[in-house]
Amino acid sequence: MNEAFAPALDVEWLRRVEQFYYREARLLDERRYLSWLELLSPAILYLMPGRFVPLARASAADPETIHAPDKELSGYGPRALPLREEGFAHLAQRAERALKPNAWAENPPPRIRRFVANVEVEPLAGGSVRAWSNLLLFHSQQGRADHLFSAQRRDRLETYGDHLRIVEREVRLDGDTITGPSVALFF
Amino acid sequence: MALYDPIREELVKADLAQGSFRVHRDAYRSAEVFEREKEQIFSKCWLYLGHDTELKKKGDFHARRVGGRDLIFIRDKKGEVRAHYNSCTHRAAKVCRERTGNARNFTCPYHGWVFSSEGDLVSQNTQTGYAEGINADGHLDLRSVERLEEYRGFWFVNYNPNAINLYDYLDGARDQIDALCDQTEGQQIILSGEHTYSIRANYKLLCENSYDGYHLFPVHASYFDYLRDQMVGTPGEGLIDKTLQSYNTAGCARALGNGHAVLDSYVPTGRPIAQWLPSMGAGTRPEIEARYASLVRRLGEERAKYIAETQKNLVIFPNLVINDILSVTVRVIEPESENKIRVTAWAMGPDDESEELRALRLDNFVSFLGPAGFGSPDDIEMLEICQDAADHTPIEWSEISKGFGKVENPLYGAGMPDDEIQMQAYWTMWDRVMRGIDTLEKK
Repeated sequence: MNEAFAPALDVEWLRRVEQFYYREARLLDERRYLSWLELLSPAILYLMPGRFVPLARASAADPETIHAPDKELSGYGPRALPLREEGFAHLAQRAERALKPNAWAENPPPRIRRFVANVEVEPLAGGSVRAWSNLLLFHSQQGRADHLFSAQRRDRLETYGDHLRIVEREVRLDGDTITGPSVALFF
Repeated sequence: MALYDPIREELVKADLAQGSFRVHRDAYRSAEVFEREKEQIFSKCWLYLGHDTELKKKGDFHARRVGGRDLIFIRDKKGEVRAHYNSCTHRAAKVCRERTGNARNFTCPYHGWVFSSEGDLVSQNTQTGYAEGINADGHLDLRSVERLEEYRGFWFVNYNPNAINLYDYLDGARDQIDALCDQTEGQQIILSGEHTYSIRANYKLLCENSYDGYHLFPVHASYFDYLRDQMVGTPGEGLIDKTLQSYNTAGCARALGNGHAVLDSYVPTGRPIAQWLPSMGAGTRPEIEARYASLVRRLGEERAKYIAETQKNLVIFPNLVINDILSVTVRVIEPESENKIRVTAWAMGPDDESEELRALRLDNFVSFLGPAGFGSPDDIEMLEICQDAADHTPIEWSEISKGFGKVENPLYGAGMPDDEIQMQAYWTMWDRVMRGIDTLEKK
């Protein structure tokens, strides 16, 4: 199978997903965290792996796998230590927390701008899609230096009524050490 | 940047009669003080390197920076644990460029010198040019760290060849490590993975924060809201408020000698080791109760209760934190400058716990202790505003007096959980090592 070429483009799907991402980014940028929760499936899995630098091991069969990013990820579940592995209840608590005056890391609130790019969509059976996107998140907060997060998002979205909602999101941050203000943000 | 240069004669002032214990803020903000800390503190104290269970197989290694020095922590091919300086004896290049892995040899990428896992130079990658026997005295082998010792699986290094033994250095902290290791009939192990993050604050600010009972309510109120929400509708409802009301009388802060101290407290988070709460789910209850029974059988009721129910925040001087709370974290604070640190945190747990309990432990770790947790971001915010304000105001002293004056020797004081006697012990030791009063050397 040659993965270098994208399958024929389903423009309508692409537009839908792009618009969904732009709207989502605007809700979050405007700190409408409770509204954002409506974009999530109750069964959502929100993942952020830890990343490390593995020992490079060459494979004669598939030389491209030597530096495959998949090998840099912490994994999830009871044997792994990711940065985040959250369900809906957890995200809902984050959303509520972000709006509390005594959540010190969130008050005064940071100004955040999310730029979503490189959207790729692969329709799946049953009205859901797999989507890849790159995210650049600009973070500015009183009293600290501005910060840019760069990440890849790997999502699964499903059709719910007339809308889309997120069933799974994996956020792969590119930073080596976490130097940013917080990874407890909505990416 | 220091506002008061050169270094003051006195950075820690204890006035027993006045009940006043003060630390000069240059200790947090001065580059000159940090330079002296590198020579005094980080060259004379035992510094945590890693845990035995991180080196499962022969050849397993981790490359780490410890007290500003780059080391390779490795189990060599004969099974012995070693710590080599990570630098080629030829012309300085790093011989190990990975953070972790398994290796029989290290080949320097620059000119191809090869070192065995034991550190021996086995090849110079050439047939010509070197006198025979040039390494007869071993000076071209990878340099070993001056001292490497362990206590119950916790490996430490010391860069002073004349330092006292680790066993003596740990003093009363040994009992705390025992309380941790004795949680299980099996073995405490470092669970897979680590969290690494940086904070713009002096390393001692994070040490202080790690066992500060006083900050709990002001800083973590939003976390207690989260715990309350989890318990709504369970028999545990109301437990949070009830326990928190007795917080500052139920536990204690204890200094353990040599600047180490522990905060024993009671916060109803549940503990995967032997303290079950309804929020942990009914499924985990039998296992946790069986674990408690095993503790009583092995160690007696009193010790079992201490191990199972007390939340323990331990700081081993100068920069190792072991928090045995809703999950266990081993957290080492590596200073990069006077106002920047790099934190590496690992989760620890018994090797004989069920998948379900392990999942709960790791979930607790990630959701509170991790850099994305409900606790850490607020702590980090506090540390950074402390550093920023110390850097940018002329105020001379920080007041760390709460509970001060009850004992003659602050290195062995005890007080209420929201006292500051643990920090008084830390700073007393810091002052003594900085001024050369305590050299931590063999007599």
